[in-house]
Amino acid sequence: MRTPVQLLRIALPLVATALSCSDITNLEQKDPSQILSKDVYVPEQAALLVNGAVGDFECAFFRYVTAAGLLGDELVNVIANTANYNYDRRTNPLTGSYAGGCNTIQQPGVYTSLSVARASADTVLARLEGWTDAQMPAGVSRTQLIGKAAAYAGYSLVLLGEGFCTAAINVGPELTPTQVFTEAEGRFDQAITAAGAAGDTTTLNLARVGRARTLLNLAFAATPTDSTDPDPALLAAAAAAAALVPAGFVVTAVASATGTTRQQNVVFAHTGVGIGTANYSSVDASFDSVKFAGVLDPRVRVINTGQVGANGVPIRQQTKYANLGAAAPIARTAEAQLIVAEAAILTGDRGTAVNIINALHAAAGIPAYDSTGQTNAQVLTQVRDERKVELFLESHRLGDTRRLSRDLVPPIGTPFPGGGTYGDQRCFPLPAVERNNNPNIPDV
Amino acid sequence: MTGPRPGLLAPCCLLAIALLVGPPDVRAQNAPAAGTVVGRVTDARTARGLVAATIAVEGSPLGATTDNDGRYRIANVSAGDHVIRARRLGYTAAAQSVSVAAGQEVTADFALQFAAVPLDAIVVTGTPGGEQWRAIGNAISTIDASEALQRSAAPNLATLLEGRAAGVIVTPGTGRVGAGPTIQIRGRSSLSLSNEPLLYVDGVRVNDAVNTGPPGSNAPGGLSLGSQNSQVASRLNDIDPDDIDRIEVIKGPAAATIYGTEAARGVIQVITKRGAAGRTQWTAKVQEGAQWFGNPDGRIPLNYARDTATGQPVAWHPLQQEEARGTPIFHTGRTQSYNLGVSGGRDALTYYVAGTFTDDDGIEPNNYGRAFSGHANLDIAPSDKLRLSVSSHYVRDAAHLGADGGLSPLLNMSVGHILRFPRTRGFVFTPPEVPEQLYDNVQDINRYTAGVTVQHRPLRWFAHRLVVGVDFTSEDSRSLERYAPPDLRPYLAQFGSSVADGRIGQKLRNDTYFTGDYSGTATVQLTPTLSSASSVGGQFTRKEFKNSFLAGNVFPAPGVETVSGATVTGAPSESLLVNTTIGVYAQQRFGWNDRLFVTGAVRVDNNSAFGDNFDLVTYPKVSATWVPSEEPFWSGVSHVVNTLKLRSAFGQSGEQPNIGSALRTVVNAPRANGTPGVTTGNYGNPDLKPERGSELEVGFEAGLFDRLALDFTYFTKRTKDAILSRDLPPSGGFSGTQYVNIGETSNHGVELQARLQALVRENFSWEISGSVSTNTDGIEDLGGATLSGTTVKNVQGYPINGLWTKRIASADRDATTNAITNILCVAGPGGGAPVPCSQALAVFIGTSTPKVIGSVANTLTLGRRVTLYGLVDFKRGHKILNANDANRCAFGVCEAQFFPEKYSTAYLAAIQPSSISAGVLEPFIQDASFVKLREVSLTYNLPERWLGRAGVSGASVTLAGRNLVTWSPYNGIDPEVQYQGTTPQDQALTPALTQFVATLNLRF
Repeated sequence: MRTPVQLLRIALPLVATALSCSDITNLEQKDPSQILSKDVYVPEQAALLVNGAVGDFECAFFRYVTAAGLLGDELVNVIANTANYNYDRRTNPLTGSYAGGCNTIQQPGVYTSLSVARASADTVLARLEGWTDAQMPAGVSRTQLIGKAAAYAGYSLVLLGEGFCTAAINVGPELTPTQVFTEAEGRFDQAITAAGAAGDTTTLNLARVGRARTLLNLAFAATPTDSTDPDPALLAAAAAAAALVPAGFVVTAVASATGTTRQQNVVFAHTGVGIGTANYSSVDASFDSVKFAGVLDPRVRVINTGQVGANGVPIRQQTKYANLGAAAPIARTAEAQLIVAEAAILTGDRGTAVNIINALHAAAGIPAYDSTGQTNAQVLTQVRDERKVELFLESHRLGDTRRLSRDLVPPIGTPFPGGGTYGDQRCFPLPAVERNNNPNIPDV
Repeated sequence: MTGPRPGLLAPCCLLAIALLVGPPDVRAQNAPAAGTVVGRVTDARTARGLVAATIAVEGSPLGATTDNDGRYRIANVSAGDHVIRARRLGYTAAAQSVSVAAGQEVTADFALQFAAVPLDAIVVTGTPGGEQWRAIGNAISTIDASEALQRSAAPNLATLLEGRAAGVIVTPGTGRVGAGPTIQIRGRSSLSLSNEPLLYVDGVRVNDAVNTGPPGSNAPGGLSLGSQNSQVASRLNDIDPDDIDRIEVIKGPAAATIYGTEAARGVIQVITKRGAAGRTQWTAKVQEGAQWFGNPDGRIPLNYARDTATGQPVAWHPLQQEEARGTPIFHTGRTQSYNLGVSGGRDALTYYVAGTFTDDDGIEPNNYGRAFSGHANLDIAPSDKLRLSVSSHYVRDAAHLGADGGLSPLLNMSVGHILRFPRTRGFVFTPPEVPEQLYDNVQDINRYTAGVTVQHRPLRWFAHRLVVGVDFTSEDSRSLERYAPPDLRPYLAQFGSSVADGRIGQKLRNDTYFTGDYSGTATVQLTPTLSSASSVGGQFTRKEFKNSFLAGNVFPAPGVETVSGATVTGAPSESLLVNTTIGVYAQQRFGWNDRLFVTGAVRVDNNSAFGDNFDLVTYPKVSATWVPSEEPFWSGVSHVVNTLKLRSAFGQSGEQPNIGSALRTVVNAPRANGTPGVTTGNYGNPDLKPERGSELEVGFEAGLFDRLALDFTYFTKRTKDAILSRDLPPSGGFSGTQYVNIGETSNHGVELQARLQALVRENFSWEISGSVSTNTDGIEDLGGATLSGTTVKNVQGYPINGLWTKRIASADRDATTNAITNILCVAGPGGGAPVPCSQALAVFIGTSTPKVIGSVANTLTLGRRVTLYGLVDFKRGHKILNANDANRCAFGVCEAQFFPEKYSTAYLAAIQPSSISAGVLEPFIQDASFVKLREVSLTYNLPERWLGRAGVSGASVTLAGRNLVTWSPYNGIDPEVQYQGTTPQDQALTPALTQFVATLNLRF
């Protein structure tokens, strides 16, 4: 029998050998609770990645609708909180909460959430272009996924272009809205090509609406006034793309009342939870009791709750989104038709414009618009009023205000409930987190 | 990840192969018979037995520790001539030769002399058997825990360290029972990683987490109210001070090189008690005491409101109000502790077994703790060449951590007033019974630590050692807000309709540390004057952290207090983090005449938290010591400077990145309709490497006039590749931050430790000891990054964790009404013309890390039986945000708003509404310097004649007080507190409690 000393004589050098001979250069990190990017960015997970990009956009979209509603004139702040004031007061500092991401509700983060959504879609788009059809799992069309990823990348870019004074892509230089819209146009073109090839009509029409919206912005980009002479070629191209969208088309951002923060309808979270002092936002008075020809317009039905928020502002509750799980339209036929109508009246085609207005009125159950005796300019105003009402809290109002250089309401310098005065922002500035950490953009 | 590097592996393998084939025939070294060495170790001047002296048989792993009477016994010593060496902290080592005969007992008694510099003490350094003090080129603080504990009645490891080791900053976060402090050695050097030192117990790396505890519920329904500042517990509290023999503090990169890639922040080595061969010895300790909020009336400022009838300011006395009502807010807590130990052994086996039960009550009914710990050490020496040491420790602790910082009685009274909030008896949100009855922040701990150390000396010139160990902690932390009874429900309605129905957040955590450590040393006398010690070793450390979190809101009825009983559940989470470090080192030391030593070492590490593009890190070290007092030329001054050791060391060590911070991940993010999806997670940095600390220290240790010991060190440290959490540009597609190695910090300072035997007479002795150390830290480079932060910020060119706020530049004051107008602030750090405060930038106000710390202790021994002891410690040069006062003024109840004539113009300007909304906090960032009478004790050793009949061989009674008096310019309650364990902010935090305990120690 071996003695303990003999055993140790054997054991100790063995342990020493094991310790000293192990390959100490090859220690792999183990974190089973996390999913490594390299394990997911593979062809087998292409559909998962595209769905993730869509989810990222939906999260960003709800935050954009809310934040843009506050910066524009659809919503007003009703909570006593300085960070919230900045949205509605149009005084967002470069370090403001608007720079945040998808983990936000009370102060909706739009720049990071939109940037992440854009990058998620662009990243998987690039991967899909590098992969082959043969690498795709059974039943998964690479072409269809390319179309979907490109379309959602385009929508993130459109919102960055409409809502931000400048933006950046892939840690690149500071881009003007025109440059951002041009990027968006490229994505929509790619989406239209791919979706057409794949026979994916939903994505095809989503991209058509997106392309029309982008071109409408570009048409006015060179003449940023409420003018009647936008770039005619771009305007025509916008109308042409929109005209292809069939009736009854809609793609929504889905939400969940029981899901995570990123899955909630933030518009409802702001305006419909805890009516009273717990509200964050209320509908602006200009949308209260909107009537056409004496008839209340159901498209902007607002409940005057009789209560006031923490800052004393009356609570007007929107009814478009009834709960935290209410879906919101990203693109639909009405938007496409209004682009057609705006292009038509700008080129003197009253008939098309009025027909579209009246089709929308008929759908809403309100009296028809009679253009008799109206000038083309008055019809144009009506088209834009239709956009305000029809597309209420669907992400368009801020972009229109900026595209058409509308006067800000309330005017600059008006005292703000809660302190300070209304500022002059028509768009969110490129935030400090981008400026200070992007080597291609000077720090602030 | 790259493949193996043959060039590196080859020497390691060769060494191991050499070990495998090289050891001589051990059987041939064994003597066929053995004897026993016994003896007693005494103080040469007083002839008293010295407890805890270490006796070693040179050239073998055999040894023993003396009992309370100074006796020892070493069995199984091979027959023949041996040198027996006795060492004890604070005494000169002594050696004598003995001739051991088979089956016989030989006596070796030692009378040790006071030693100002313990040149021959053995220090745990990472090499087998440790190293002699004289050869160590860096500063090390050693604390005799047995002695310190008897004098101080320190309740935990951190309080044993407090004031006893130069350069060690112990900062209690809150005085609540169960809370633990943060510890920094030589200040902060890391901007984003932990600054807590590593902790080893008997050579085994153990969990040293601080700021642990229950998080609040995340279930829908609003923020958790009772869990604010609930994460205050420390794993250091799991170590029973009664089990500690001594503590060694290794202070920085210069010393910690061979501890590798996590050791830049220093290392604390805890060496536990071991048994001594000889008769079985029982010890028992009974400790009873009380603790309370010292002088609350004098420390909590009064609040004011104006009587609407008279128009006069009225002061509010919440403590007196509640006392008169029969519901005092704070009470005196009882503290008790019972310890029973047995040690002894014979021949080749010695043991130490002890258990302690503690029962502590805080000053509020929801703050108390019960703990049991058991410790068993076993030493087996089957031959004089082999020693097997087993250490095991178990602790079970249920800490009810109470609540402060957030919704607590202190917060409610700090901004309240009876005229303002009559519905809640003046307390701003709720009266005290709400948090005290409803909020229970609990941490249940089951922890087991075990280690086995095998020391083997197959040859006289070669010894090696293997340590394997595991430290497992199971934690169940719960933040409970109970279902409120009808009388308390109205107070909670303001927070939401369901808040009164209660909520719970529960964190379940299993942390495991594995240690494997092999090292071998070959010691060769190259020439009669030149010696060599060559060491090589390898360490393996693996840490596993398993976390689960569950939460629920809305209990259906009173008495339901579990997550599964809640109506609305929160999002659960689970994580498993694994981190592995493998390192090897080689060290070469040359000694000349046993008084000049030069040591060089290099350590190579890999850590699984390094980025994929970074493989190995190498840390060098070089040190030198010289003991000129042993040179022949020193004889002329040796009566003045008895001992002098000069030392210098340069070394590097590192700090690993946070686990997972190099990984690029995605996270599960299904769409709202349930379609699976992922989104970007952590944007890990594949180039991430450890922070690298480089430190140079020079110093000396001197003994003067046979009574004064001085230990002086100057250190300067640079931490390069400092890891910063840098914001990512969102356009890259990732939100949040990324860790990058772009920073650089610096620290420098001096440390002086002194011990003076002021008087030594037969029946009276007076010893004075103390230390003072300085630390100046700075941020040298941030690599162009701008780090986020509001009041506490890291800015290039300024100290780490600086306190920043807007500063009042000027204001006009009406001489009659004291009305303040025309307030302007300093424009910013760059100066410039004053601007309205809303446009101003924050400027640097001060550092949160003390620039100077120190202590002075006096020990008076009267006769043979009475010892009087007192310790005063101090910190200065740092600031803290007095959020209590800031909140008080923001709520309109502070004294300055009613008696402005007592305050400066700048103070009054800062408390105007426009200044408060602009974020001006300057008057509230206050000097946190203090001097505290930390410990006072009186010990009486009972006469033996009283004890004999009861079979007791020794007994003492100690009456000890703690946290007795504070002198400080700070206006708040206690300058030592920290919010949430790390933030230099005093907001409704319980101060360190005043404590008195009586301890009866018995030996049988």
